[in-house]
Amino acid sequence: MVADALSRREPAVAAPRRRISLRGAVRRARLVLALSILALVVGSALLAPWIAPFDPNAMDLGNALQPPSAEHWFGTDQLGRDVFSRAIVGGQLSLLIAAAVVALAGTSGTLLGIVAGYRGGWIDGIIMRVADIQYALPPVILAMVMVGAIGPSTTNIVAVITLANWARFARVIRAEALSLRHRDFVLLARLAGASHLRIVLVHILPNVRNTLLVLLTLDLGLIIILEATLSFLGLGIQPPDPSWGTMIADGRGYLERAWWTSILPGCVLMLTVLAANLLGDSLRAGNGSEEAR
Amino acid sequence: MVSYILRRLGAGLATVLLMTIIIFIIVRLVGDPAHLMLPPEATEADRDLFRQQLGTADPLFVQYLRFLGGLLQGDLGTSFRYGVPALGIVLERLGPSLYLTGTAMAFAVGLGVPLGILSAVRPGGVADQAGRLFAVLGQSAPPFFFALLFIRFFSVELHWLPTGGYGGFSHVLLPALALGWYSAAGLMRLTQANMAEVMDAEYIKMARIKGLPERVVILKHALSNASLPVITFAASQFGILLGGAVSIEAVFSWPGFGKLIVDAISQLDYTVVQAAVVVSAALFILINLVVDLLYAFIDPRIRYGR
Amino acid sequence: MSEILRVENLTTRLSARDGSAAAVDGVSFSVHAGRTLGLVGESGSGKSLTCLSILRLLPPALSQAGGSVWFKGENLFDKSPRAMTAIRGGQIGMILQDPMTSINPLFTIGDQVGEVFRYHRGVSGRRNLWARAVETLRRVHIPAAEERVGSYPHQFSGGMRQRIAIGMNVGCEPDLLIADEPTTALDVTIRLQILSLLREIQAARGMAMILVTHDLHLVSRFCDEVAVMYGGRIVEQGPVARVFNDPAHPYTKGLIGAVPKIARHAERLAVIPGQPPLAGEHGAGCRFAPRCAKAQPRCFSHYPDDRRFEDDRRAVACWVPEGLPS
Repeated sequence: MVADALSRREPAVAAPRRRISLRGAVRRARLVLALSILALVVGSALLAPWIAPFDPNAMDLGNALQPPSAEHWFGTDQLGRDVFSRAIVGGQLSLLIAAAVVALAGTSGTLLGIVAGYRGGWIDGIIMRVADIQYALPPVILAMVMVGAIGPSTTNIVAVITLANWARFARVIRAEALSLRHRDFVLLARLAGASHLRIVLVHILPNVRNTLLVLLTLDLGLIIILEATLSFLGLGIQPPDPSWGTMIADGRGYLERAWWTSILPGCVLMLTVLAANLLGDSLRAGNGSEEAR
Repeated sequence: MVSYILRRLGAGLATVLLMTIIIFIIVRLVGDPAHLMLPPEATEADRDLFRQQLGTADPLFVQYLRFLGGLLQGDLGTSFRYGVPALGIVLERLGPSLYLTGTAMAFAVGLGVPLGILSAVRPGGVADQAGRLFAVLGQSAPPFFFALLFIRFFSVELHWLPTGGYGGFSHVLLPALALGWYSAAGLMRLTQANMAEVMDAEYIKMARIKGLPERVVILKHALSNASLPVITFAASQFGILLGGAVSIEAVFSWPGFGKLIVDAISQLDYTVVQAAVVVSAALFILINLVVDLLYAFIDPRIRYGR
Repeated sequence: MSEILRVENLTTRLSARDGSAAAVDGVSFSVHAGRTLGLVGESGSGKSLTCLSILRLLPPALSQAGGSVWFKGENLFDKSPRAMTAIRGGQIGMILQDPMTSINPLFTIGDQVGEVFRYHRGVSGRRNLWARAVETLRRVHIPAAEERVGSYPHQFSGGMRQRIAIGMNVGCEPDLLIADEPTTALDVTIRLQILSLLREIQAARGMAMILVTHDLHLVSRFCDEVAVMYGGRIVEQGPVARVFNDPAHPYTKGLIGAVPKIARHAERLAVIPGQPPLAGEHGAGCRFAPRCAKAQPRCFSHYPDDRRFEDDRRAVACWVPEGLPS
């Protein structure tokens, strides 16, 4: 109808340009900040063997529970180990696990989500019912029970956290695939005789890429938190290997005498997750304005 | 309306049934209690006898059917460890956990929703800025870390609140705040996004044209329409809170459900783990049922079956 | 014939950090009791914004830059927010285009019609409010109003919903009703019913009305006066018969020339070559000049002042108007 088509051009919708560019500048600044924090954390984790000032597992009982100083930036823990060195080495395993889980859960969740959304029918029903379990049982409890079953090795932790996290991806991607399924270009491709595999690879996958990217970054933080929780409960990374979760757990008893042993590694964890979340938010905001068309 | 509720209930039951199967299998992978609970010098014959007593000698599906049969009669088996009904142990520990998660939820809703509304109604205002900072921080650390920060500051430095233990409001305040912050942040963001969207709706314009006071426009016309996804999200946070409570209970020596599961896993107390999972799943169905009823109560289109 | 509303030099701006663009630029008109003004123009010409400005309900991106709105002798721009709340819905009503979206889906129609009485007439108690709602629904011809007062919006058709929306806005007997494209979203068969309902209500209490539309046929049938908007300005206004029989502005002329004899095609407006300007995207001159066949150099550099016809009831903003004794 003429009126409908025309009314969309009502000037009320035309937002002032200058403010958008200002908001864009703030967003870019946030993006740069997030990326630099992540680069710093990931970089120091990767280079940990060379830049860690001390051996993270070297004990020095005569030097236990020393407050932060020029020599020990984050102080020392109850066994005299250097908290700073342990924090950056601990980041290694935590980030490795998080990256592996995000990759695995992202891939499997996306595939299952596309299959569920694109094929529909009973396959969709089964996948979504299984995904519902994740809502029925908190991921932490699910992961705890599973780690209890198969033991806390690094591989097992990755497997367990992946199992406890794929469904979120599946759910969101399924919704996207469902809406794409009926779009003209998919229908046309099908009329042209394209195989389902080809449609999924060429038409569906590229269209869910942006959503997936946002989900991946937002989930990174969530998974770091989940791994830290498991380690904190003693069901994750096992001592003497340092991880943020175990360091916070170990320092818990010294909160009054030596707060740095738990709080400072926690701050590193928090900064990392914060950066990942900011990154995800910036990407989401960027997506939003693109999709607003 | 009735068919809507029945359909939702059916889906919930199917999920829980599927979950009991999975948990049933996983729990049996943990190990054989006959090895853990009998002394090492026990003979294989002793162990077989023990297994028969526990019922773990039968094929898995027979065990599962027996478990389901018991479930229908409200019998979730006897704890291997304590020799008393597993359900009793679980329910006893569920109370303190619900007290903690309930308080955390009240805090999350009581802070997250109003902040979200303020932030949507006055974008760029003080509440908006503060709310965003609150949300960003709340989602960037695990609850047990906030718990330690709070203890260090409010208990060790200021001596305002106890560092742990089970008790009244002063005991539950810190754990509930630490636990609820993450959910409060999510609720704030979701409320903000939904309210902002609803505020652009034509019926909001109409409510203002009708000359309704702004408070009625926001709290009645806008909030009601923005509330459905917020309610769903809040309900989904019960699971998150129950999960987070595991570590919070450890930090504050809170005699809850989470610690029970951790202990039961390490003691291979199958029946207690199963009972705990079944109870939390039942809780899940219950909460979802409440959500569905709330939906129907709020939205007439659902109530009239559309 | 008393003047209910006089809009003077109304200007509304899109607020941006540096500079701003006028979306409504120096608009003036008046409406009298029992009469209907047709506000005509293409989408984006500023008609809806003019109406929202009168009610002081502009979206946040826009701001009121100047002018005054005299309603029954008082300037609405001087009123406190609280006083404006009392005027909206109480003394000025407004109907929106799409009744499918303009009524809250979650509350009964009785509740939403009754609300007006609660906040403008101080009626309290569900029973009293529903009684007033039933009364109002009867006046807008909702069949079986007593039974349907507890129904929800989704249980009504589009035409019925528009009647309910009208009910919400005329329940408190306003002196002015603004109808912003009240029939555009409705089926053709229902349009006339809605318009005759509006007429009936207007006749019953001598309400003034502004009918915003892009349908010239509607204007010729239902309005007494017409104001033609283009690019945020009123280019021509006056009594409907005189403007339509003898358009003075080239734009008006183009519009009327573009209306075919058969009425049902009357919705089509722009058969004039080119596109209307967006707010801020025009020069200092006449906004229509780029599309005008008669444009002269000064049309591009200076905006023409309103020229009034002898009896002061007609005005046109054009350097080279037709049929105006110079």
